[in-house]
Formats: sequence, C-alpha cells, structure tokens
Amino acid sequence: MKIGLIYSFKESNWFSVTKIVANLLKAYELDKSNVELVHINYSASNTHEENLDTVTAAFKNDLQKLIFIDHLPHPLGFLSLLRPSQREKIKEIIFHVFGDFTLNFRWWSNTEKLLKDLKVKFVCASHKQARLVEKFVPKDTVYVCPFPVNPEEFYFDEGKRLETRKKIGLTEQDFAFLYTGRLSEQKKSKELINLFLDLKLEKKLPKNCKLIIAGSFDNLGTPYLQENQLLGEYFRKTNQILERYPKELVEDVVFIGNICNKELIDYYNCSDRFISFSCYHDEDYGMSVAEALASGLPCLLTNWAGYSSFKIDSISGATVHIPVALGEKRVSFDMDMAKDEMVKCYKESLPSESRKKLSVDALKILSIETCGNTLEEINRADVGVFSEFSAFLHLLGAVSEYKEFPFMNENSKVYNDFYYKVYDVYAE
Amino acid sequence: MSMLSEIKNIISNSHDEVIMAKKWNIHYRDNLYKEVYGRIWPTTHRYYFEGNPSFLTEYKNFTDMKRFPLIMLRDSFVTLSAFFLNNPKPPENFNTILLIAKEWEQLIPKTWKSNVALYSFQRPQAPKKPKKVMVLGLATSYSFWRHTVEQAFNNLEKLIPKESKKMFYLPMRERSVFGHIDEAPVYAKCMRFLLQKFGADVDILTNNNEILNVKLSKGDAYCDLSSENMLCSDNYFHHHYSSQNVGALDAKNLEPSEEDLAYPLSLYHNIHISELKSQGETFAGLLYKTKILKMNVKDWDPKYHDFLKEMIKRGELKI
Repeated sequence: MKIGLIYSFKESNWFSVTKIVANLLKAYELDKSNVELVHINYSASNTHEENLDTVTAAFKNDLQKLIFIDHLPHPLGFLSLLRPSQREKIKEIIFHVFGDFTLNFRWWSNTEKLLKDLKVKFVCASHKQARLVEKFVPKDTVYVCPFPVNPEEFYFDEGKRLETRKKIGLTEQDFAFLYTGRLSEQKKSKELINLFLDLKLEKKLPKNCKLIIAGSFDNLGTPYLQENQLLGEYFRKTNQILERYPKELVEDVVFIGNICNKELIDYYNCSDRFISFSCYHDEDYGMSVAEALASGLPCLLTNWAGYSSFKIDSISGATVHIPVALGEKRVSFDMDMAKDEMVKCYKESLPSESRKKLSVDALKILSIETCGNTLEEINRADVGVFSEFSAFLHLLGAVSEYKEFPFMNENSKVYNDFYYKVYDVYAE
Repeated sequence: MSMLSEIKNIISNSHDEVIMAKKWNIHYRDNLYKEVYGRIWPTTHRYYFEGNPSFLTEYKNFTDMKRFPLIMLRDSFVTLSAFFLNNPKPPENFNTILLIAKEWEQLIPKTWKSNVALYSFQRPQAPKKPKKVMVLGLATSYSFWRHTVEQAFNNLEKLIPKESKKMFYLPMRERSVFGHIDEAPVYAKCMRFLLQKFGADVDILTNNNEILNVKLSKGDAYCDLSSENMLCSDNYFHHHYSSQNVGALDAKNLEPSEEDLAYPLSLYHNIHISELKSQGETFAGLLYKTKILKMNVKDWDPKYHDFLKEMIKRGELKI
C-alpha cells in the first residue's frame, strides 16, 4: 500500500513541531508491513502552482492513504487541490492533531465536504486532547498516540550529570529544578519563579536549591482575550518579580537562555526535577516533559491538558500533578499545593537507580519504536466512513468567520461560554 | 531628590496607564508623523519598558504629556530640534521627565536640565566572524545627511567580514517617508553600491511584514546601513535582535558610570539612564542660526529639513 506522508520539508517556527515531525517520520518508517511511504512537501511558503505540482507528482504514485503529520498549513488547502480522479483513489486520511486544532475551526468546517465517504482518523497526542477533539469529530475516529521521543537523543546518563554540573557550577549537593520551554504568560514561568523565591525567603528551600530556566521570553500574552504583549514586556514583568527579593536569593534563579537540542539532554541529566506550572491553553502534549522523562528526570507538573497524560506509576513520586481550575481570565493552579510539592521534591529526590528505571519505563511508552507500533495499529484499525463534524464545530467555525476572538466576551473581556465548553476537559 | 532617584522611583511604581505603548486610544498631535512612522515601521514598532518609549507625535500637547511622569522619546534630530527650538524652556508646572537619546545630548537647552535625562543601550557584541549579517537599511534621504550613500557602503564594506553571508533589509517604495519626497533615486543609488560592493550573492528583503520572521541566531550579527537615522533614534530592530542574543557589528562600547541607572530589557541587553551634563552647544548654535535666518521652525516643513541638512553637510552643527 502506498501512503502519502504530508508535511513541510521546511522547519517550523515552533521548534517542538520540528522535532515532533522528525520523530513521527522515524516512527512511520519502522512499519515493516507492506507499506511504501511517499514523502510530500506541503508548505505555507510554496506557491499555489508549486502545491499543485506537488499533488500531481504525489498521485503518480497511486496513493491510497494520506497522513498529515504537520500542524501547518491546514490540510484543507491540500485536500482542495485534489481532482476527483485523485480523490477516488484515497481510502483513508489520518490527521495528527496539534495544539492549534482549536484555532482552526473554520478550516475544519470547510474540510467536511472533502472528507465525506472517506475513512478518517484523528490521532491525538494525549488523552485530554482526545476528549477535547471528541467534542467536534465522531468519537470512533479519535485515537491516542504520544508524540515520540528519540531514545538516541534523550536517555539517562550518570556521566552527563556530573560533567554538566561541573560545567555550569553546580555541586553534587545542589538540588536543581529545571524548566525548559518558552517563558510566557500562559506558561506561568513568572509564577514559578515567584513561588520558588517565596520558598527561599521562608527558608523552606535552602541555599543549595536552584531553579534553572532554559528558554527565551515571548510576547504571546493571552491572545484569546486580546491581551497581546509587547517585546520585552514579559521579561520586564518577570524582572519586577526578581527585584522584590534579596539579591542572594535571586542568584539561585539561573537563566541560561535558549539551549540547542543537543545540549538539552545534558541539562535533563544534571537536574533533579523538571518543573512546569504551564496552563497554556493549547498544551496538547508537552514535548519537553516527554524528553525530560525519557532522560530519567522526574517531573512536577500541573494537571492541565496534555500534562495529565504523563504518569509513570512504577516509580513513586516520579510524576506529580498540581490541580488546576478554569477562571474568568486565567487558568490557575493550586499554588499552596505547588509550594508543598516543591519542598517535598527537594526532600525526596530520586536516586540514580530510580532515575534509570524512570527513563526505561518512560521510553517504553514514548520511544519512537513504541509509538511506531501504536501508529501501525491505528493504521490497521478499521473505522467507519466519515459523516460530519459536530454542530458545535460548525458553530465555532461560523463564529470564527466574523469574530477574531471567539472565546472572549467582548464587553467584559473575560472568557465566554464557548471557552468553558471547549476547555473544561483540560482542567479535569 | 536627585533626577536619577526620581526616575528610579517612577520606574519602580510604573503601571500600564502611564505607558503610551500600552494604549489603544492615542490622540496624535498630527497625522503627518503618524504616517511617517507608519511608513518606516517596523523601525518604529512599539516595545515595552517602564520608561515609556514613545514619540512626540503621540502626545497632543503639553497637557497630554503631563499625564505621564516619564517619557522616553524615540525621536531623532528633526523632531527633537524643532521641539526644543519651539520650546526653549519647559512650560510652567511641567513635572514630566523626558529621556532623550544620549547622542542628542548637545541638542538640549540648559533650561531643560531639571526635566531631562539621557538614555543609551548596551547591546550584545557580535562574533568576530558571524555566519550571517543582516544589514538594516532605510534607503531614504533621511539616512544620508552626514555621509553619502557611497561613504555608507564603504564603511559597511570595511565592517562586514567577507566570509559572512549578507542579508539586506531594504524596503523599497517611492514615497517611503514623506509623501512629497520621491525616495526612488536614493534607493537606486543604494542598490547600485550594494551590487558594486557585495555582488549579487546577497539576500535582499523588502517585505515589512515578513522581516521580523527572518531568523537570526547567536552566531549571526546585524548592523545598520547608515549610522544616521534623522527620524528615529531608537530602532525596534536593535531590541528585536539583541533580545535574541544576536550581536551588533556596529555596537558602540558603552562606558557607563556607576551613577547611571541600568535596567535589563532582555537577558542580553540593557538600557542605561544618565544625568544630563552638557551645556547644549548644538542647541545654542541652532537657535542662533534660526533667528538670524528668520527660519520658520516646523518639524513638518521641508524647508526646515533642508536647512538642517545643509547645516550638517557644512559642518556647522556639532552632532
């Protein structure tokens, strides 16, 4: 069978997506059954003519299945280019769903007619994302497969721990919390720093406890509520938090900026606990969490969206979740519990053998090989013919046509009913 | 309280109500400069700092300015000179502190000393052999008052290592600044010298909306096509790249004094605020000339712009 794998050959602006696409490709390439993969470059930077040529060239291969493994451009563009004779050959389409699914209701709404009478599958990266997507698509078309982690890039290595600690000036006795990712309003990095410094001030975390922050600041703000930020705004607001505390405490918050993919494993290995209180509305998964676990780094996370799926029960305390709640303007997490758990994490750090086991157990779920097997099963699964998207999706699609901020109450600038109806499952 | 202590106090108590860049309902003084700054966007794009970086044209009048305890003016020579010539001393009961770019220190009359401080930036240094160099250019007559186009490109040729990949941001439009000036001849000259000096193996970027999506990384660098920008002293691109730890090839070495206030604007670049120490020599010279020549000082008047340009070309203004 010939399967078209559709993605942009150009790197995404979202670094995590670039990794996800690369690892998904590797996962699909493991399929040893009678499958021939045809790689199709569908990119936003292509002209209309280039995309037409791409489609024509792809269908010379008698494709029977299409799998969209990238988040942009939306599949509607590609599917609209298919001629009836090309469309007839297709038996099934699989969509890998990314966090921007909720930004594209009007495109999905318009895609419906192109999917009728085809077998369609939506592959979500986490269980909560699947529950969200099930509000919009037929339930029996939704599957779950985590975005895979490359075990050649992320693994536990005691040697790296010692080497990296020496390089960045951490002693063996130091305890390091590590956050990797964007420093952003919805990622709650400011709140994380605030809690850490509060604990320091209250002497519940000692001098040898550090918070390492690896990532760059962004200005995304809270776009759903039209709260965009200016360049430097989130940085300055974070700095205002730092200025409230004594210098000797602030020294224990270490900003290392962006680190390249190759160095991430060093930091995961040299740290003692990955920490993230993100409540980012489209946290469908959490690639950094997956990589941290694959490197044997236990995690302290919010119980929000995709983060909830990261549970390694074989090792006590390896994955700890803080409850969250949807508010009028913000998703919030239980700060008191977060502080207690941070202290607990410090007092009960995982020994080396447990971390090694954590890495092994995490990779049993997240590795390219495991995900490849899951995708093979999804590929083989029988599914009925697609009928339609839900009325709710069409409603949101229609609202998105004329409202730039469909989840915002325009009078009070707080979240409206649509928001709660869509995102309630992420907070459960 | 000293000037710098007062500024420190204002910054630490700042909130969005006193930051122009956070406002959606700006009552512009005039439409002309609103359009001009729009045409040279993203050079004039907004960024955040509690010092309230903004332009004179965003304040309707002094009453409007009084609403803000601190105003960091991103204006450059043309509008700043007109402002001080038309207002040689602050109005009564004017308590707002203006931050002016340090390069225009000599343009400030002594009478404004109690209401003015200076700002400058410390930007990351570029690597000696950057992989890519982004040259930021506004190919308009307002970029070549002190130096000619040819001189600017000669300087660039000396500055950029031969091995580096060159990218030029050169938006091209006939009326790229003021509607009455056809800038096409300047642009054509720039293109001629660009091709002469650097050949055809360069990337030329002209799309204002796409330029901010062009990625540079730590091993790359940027520089300005011309060190002069007579319309905007505080270029957004400098902040955009500095905050990504991309070094400036033409970054001047700042020698801050211990008394200066320093605020980080990102993990990689800072703003320094210092007290005004100069005697306003350039202002004095300019005031004298405008009186002698009975010059009508209006920042929108092309004759005034020509007057300033001539003074600079003749070396009569120390800037």
